[in-house]
Amino acid sequence: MTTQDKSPATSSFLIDDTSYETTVTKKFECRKPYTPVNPREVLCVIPGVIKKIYVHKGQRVRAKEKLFVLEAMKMENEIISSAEGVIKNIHMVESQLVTKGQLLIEFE
Amino acid sequence: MSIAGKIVDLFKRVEKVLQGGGEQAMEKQKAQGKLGARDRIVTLLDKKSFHEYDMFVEHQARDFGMDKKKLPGDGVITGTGTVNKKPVCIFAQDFTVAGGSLGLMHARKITKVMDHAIKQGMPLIGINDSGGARIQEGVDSLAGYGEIFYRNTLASGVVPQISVILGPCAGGAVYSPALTDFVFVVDKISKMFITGPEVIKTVLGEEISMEELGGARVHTTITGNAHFFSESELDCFDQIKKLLSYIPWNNTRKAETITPHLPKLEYNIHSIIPAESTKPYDVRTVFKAVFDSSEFFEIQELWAANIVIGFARLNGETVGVVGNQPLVLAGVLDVDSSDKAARFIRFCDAFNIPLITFVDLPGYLPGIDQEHAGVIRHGAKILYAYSEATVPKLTVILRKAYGGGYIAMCSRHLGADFVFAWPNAEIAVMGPEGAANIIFRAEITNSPNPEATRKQKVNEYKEKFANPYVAAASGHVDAVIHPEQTRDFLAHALLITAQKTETRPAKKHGVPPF
Repeated sequence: MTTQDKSPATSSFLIDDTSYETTVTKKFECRKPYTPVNPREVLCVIPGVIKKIYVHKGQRVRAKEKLFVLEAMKMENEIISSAEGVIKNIHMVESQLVTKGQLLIEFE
Repeated sequence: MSIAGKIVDLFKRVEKVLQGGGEQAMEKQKAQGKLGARDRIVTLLDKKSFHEYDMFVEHQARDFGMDKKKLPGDGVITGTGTVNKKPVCIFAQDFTVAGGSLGLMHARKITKVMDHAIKQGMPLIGINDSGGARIQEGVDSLAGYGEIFYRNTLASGVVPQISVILGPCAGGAVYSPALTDFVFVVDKISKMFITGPEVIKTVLGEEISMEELGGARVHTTITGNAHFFSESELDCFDQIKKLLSYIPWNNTRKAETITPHLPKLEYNIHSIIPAESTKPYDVRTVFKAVFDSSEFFEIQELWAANIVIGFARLNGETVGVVGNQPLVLAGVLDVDSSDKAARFIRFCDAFNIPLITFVDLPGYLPGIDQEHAGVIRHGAKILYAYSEATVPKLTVILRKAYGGGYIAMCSRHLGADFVFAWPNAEIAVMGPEGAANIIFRAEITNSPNPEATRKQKVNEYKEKFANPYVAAASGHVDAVIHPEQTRDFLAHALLITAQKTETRPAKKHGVPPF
């Protein structure tokens, strides 16, 4: 067996008009493509439990109106709406355990 | 030629340089909402204080037709002046001259004022507005960047360094601001990135705009590369002036002391913190109730907002303030908030600014993403920075101080000179629920009604340990104080520690976690 056979599979990697034969790291392979922030989605910023939901599907809410209470790290955080809008869908129920990045509310 | 004739000749030469890249280029600059480079300097500095040097410096490039090209001032304006009557060194890249591109002489003008700043001991302000390296000068332009980075590093901790990004600042050029203490950006004008959208598209096939990749908002909210966000260049200059009023000229001096003022009466220190420890509040209101004129100058307000850092004054003297923010993510320590606080602590220590820490945190943020992002190594930075600091270190425990978070937030064990706690403070090895679950595990599981027993045991633990008196009994807390006494105790502690000297084992330098 030659040393070449042992070396891991390489792929081509383009930087500054030059293509390099190289291996890539696991982190690079698993990277997520960029998605711009969608202002119509309320995502969970910290893992926790939904203590209370103040709004319902189809409801029109004003800016700064309370949406729900998220308990995380023993702190009850009141999540308020950043803008006016109509709620298209709610993806959580009270007492539900939610994780970081989870979609909680969609606006129309 | 007569002397008068020579003076006329000088004026002509100066006039030529003052025109920069010419009217057309200047129009283009203004159309983008940008001030001219010289206007920026004059607007920022005290009136008539700017003195310009190296106006007649010329590049020495000969290739690619550069020998026939004259670049006024070689695309950068350098000099000295004053802000709030304090001396500063300043440079501003002139985008109207060859896109503000950096060649060797351009860089040498910059390194010359940097050398002045280090030797004469005054702050350095760099206004960046440049397309990047002057490609025609080849590796010489890289040499120029390197010489700047080297001096940024030498100047670090010797004189305050401020970078103002008022245009593009891309590729290697971004490393100079990254090495400086404070980075100012302006909405829609500042752009910072190592590789631009074009390169990202060819290499990875991902599309993104310049603004989304490295605009002012990105660097003040997502990356933490910038410290101050402004809507306009004029607002930005006001912020720089304000910052300079809080910090000393160099590391051998103390910041200027001004006339003391009491906090405003409207901030009632009693009513700020909710009785229940699960309710959030804005820790900045506590600062307003404690510090002079209720003023707090916040740094990196929009990034890692779960910790708050900034300057305030106590009895007229500048202090560096660090506080957990229960309003955001319950005030936990995580990767970003640790980085943010640690660098600020080191700045204050380098420039003789006493540190005051306000503690209310449940601990470090649990999570796979945090652990995999290296929260161990990042969190260690806070411990390192506080332990290393020899300036006066005062700590006030407002409410929760549990576990590793308690130790990290400038506890007595990391060398705090004075630790005060409010009567509602909870200082313990971990939260009551967690502690009771572990200590009384057997009793809870063997109980006929485990839930009731658990509640009872949690309450027992709370009664006994969720207070400041256990820590006070061991001397870890110097005084349990009435919230109204906070200002008085801190002011007195500042007086007591004013002559503090603390020596450390001799070494070349430490090796902090990065």
